[in-house]
Amino acid sequence: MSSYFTWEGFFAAIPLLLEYLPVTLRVTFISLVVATIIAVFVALIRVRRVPVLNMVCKCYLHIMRGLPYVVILLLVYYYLPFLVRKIFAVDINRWDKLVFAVIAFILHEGAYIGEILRAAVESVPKVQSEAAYSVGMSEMQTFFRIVLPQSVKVAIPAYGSNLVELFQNTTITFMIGAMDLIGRANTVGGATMHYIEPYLVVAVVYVIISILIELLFKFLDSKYKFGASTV
Amino acid sequence: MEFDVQSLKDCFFSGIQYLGVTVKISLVSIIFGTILALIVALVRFYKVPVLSQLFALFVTVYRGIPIMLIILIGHLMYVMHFDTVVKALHLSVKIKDVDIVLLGYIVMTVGVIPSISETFRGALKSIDKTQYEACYSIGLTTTQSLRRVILPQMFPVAFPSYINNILGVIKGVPLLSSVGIMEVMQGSLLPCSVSYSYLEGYAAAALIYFMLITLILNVAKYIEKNLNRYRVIRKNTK
Repeated sequence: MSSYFTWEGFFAAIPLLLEYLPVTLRVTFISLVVATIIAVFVALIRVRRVPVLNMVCKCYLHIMRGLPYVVILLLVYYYLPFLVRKIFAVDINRWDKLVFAVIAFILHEGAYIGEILRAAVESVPKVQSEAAYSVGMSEMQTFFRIVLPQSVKVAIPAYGSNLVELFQNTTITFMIGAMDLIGRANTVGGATMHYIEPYLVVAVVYVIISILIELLFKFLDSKYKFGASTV
Repeated sequence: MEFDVQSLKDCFFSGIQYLGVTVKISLVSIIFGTILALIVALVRFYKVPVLSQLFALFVTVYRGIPIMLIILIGHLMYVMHFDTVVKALHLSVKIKDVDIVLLGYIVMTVGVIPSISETFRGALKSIDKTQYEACYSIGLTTTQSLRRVILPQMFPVAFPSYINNILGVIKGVPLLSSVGIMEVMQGSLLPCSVSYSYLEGYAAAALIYFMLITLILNVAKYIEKNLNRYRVIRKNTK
């Protein structure tokens, strides 16, 4: 191989790869939204200490914390079709690989975001709820007017870094050969026999978007302020 | 396709044999990564002129690159440039003589620096400014005040997120299998290549990782309990 890295190859790869950027973004976004919905329930159960479900959620969280992303992804990818066929007698082997990736991300992020939300809700001192009750607010009013606004403030930075992590972890769909940004980089590399240029393009794209997400959350964090000082 | 317990057992024991590799890569990268990250964090904290900006750029950019890409690009560079670099150093090793695990050490070590250095920097910032001033007022040099006052207080603060970083490293190791490093996940898949039933292999890998991380979390909980004794804890005013 005469030239290892060429700028021509680098620039030629950009339009080919950017076509697939929406796919990656969609995977991230869908996973984030569904995982947040699950996380709300997990956090709710853990904050209210619902008898049996609390234990279930604890186990779920512990298992998800103990498994690497790759292992979860590959387990879902290989095990889910088998399980679904056994229980529902439906063949999902031919589904798009990205569906399995999304399911794996949801499973993992549901636990992590759930924990962030729980920590945020519990960070509001109990005396505040008690004060709200003492002036005659109902439970709903207390939660939505007193607890929620304060816990959102706590949750924003952690939620942002979690989102960046989730976005970066979408690269491991490489392991199951799904067709998104990095899968496309791999095929472009295979076609041109130059792997490094497409990979570098992907790296640049990821850096830019990660930094943008970080900036967005920093901005949100600075915007989201209340009259009450934290001193 | 049925779930075979015997096969799961085979996979489990096959995977356990490679636990050493995973642990070794994690340990090496955590130890070297921590030392380097501490240097990066201190340089950025004390705002050493040129270096601090350089490190800031490195951390910002490097944090934006997913570990999977770092591994893939690192692998390509390793394969292409290893011989050139070695020749420049006048060593007589060829790439085929060197275990690919070396790449794992390098990639993971560099990969953990940004996250750990951010953890340390956050912890350094959390220490009261009065502590530094107090150190200077009784005539301690910077090194002395760091070693005797600041660092012992910094570690307990940094510890929970440091443990998270360590877990991140351990969970990043199976990604190395994509460049052909044998670790726990690949190891537990070995018996599967006979039967073509990979489910048991992944289940076994999940089991091993789960046990390993539970162990680390429990040890961490125990250490955390005993860590806070050096720390000056102000009275909590809610």
